[in-house]
Amino acid sequence: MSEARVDRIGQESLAFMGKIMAGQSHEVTNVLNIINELSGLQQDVLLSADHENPARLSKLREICGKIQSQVARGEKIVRNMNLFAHSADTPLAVFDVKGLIGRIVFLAERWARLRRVELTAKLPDETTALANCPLGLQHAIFVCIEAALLSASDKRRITVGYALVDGGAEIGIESADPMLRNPEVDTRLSVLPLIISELGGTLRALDDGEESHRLAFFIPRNRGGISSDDSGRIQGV
Amino acid sequence: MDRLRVLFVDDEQELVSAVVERLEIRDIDACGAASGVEALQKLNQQSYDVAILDVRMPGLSGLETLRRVKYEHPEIAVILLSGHGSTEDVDRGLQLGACAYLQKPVNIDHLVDLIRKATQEGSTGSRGE
Repeated sequence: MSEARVDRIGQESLAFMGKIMAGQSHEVTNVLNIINELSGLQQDVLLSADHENPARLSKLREICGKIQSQVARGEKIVRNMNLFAHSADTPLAVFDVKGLIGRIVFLAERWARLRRVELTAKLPDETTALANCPLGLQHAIFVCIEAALLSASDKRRITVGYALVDGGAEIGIESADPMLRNPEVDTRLSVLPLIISELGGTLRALDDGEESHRLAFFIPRNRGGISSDDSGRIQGV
Repeated sequence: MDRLRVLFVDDEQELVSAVVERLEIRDIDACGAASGVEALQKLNQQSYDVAILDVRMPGLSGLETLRRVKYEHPEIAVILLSGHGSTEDVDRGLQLGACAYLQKPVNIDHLVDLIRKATQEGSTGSRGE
């Protein structure tokens, strides 16, 4: 592989990680801002109470419940950020593809929400171990989601899923709207063949026509000398 | 003296309801909206003295909402609410007619000061923090 190609993938990969971390730090800040206001409200309720007007316990309970649900929301964000960060620990690992897709969809939801698009993961009940590059796979899926978001209109749905096929898995990103082919989308997608090639995979659907609703690619079950049967090394489950 | 009427707009609904309650405790008539579109509807239905707009919202952004508010209701003072990394948006917002901005997390007493100043001084273009 040429040095320029390695550089490009490396730069794009760093940019991808930076984007995810920046986006999720905004999400954590939102949670902290809400907790700040709720604790302030709790203080207001207590400070305004006196002997004649005691603090309403039901109000305080309601605020506590809201704080707890924001803490749970924040904990989920941080847990997913942590698993995402650790997915860069090694270039090759055995991981659960179902958990990985669920995580990148969760992390990408912020961008979908800002564009008022519904992003969902459609996943089977059973888990599937793959031996490949978890960061690269998340990057490839995120690039597809970004391209689909650029094409999606208000309040439409994008679904990410996978199917087991001979020798690996086919990852599919389906949009209710046709994927546009314009310079912005093409620029976003230009790195996709490089990432997928790094994963030892192939691009399955990226039609030149204007009516394609699906991006899909195949990645092999085992890559680079490690096997998905090595479940003792499974990552992020 | 009539109580001030304030519309607080942010897509985080829990934040909106908490801030609205805290403003009410401080003798300000406050209402909330979860989007720019909902804010414009409420501003058309009832009169407000001040609108507080989050800069970054899905759909109609805070800046686009500000532009429309200033076009349709130039008498309403607008305070912008910004998160990290929104300084360019805030500068643009002040150019578009916002009278002040406040950075999250909201300091409620500071916000109340800004609301009162905004209604006393009109659109003078002051910075919150």
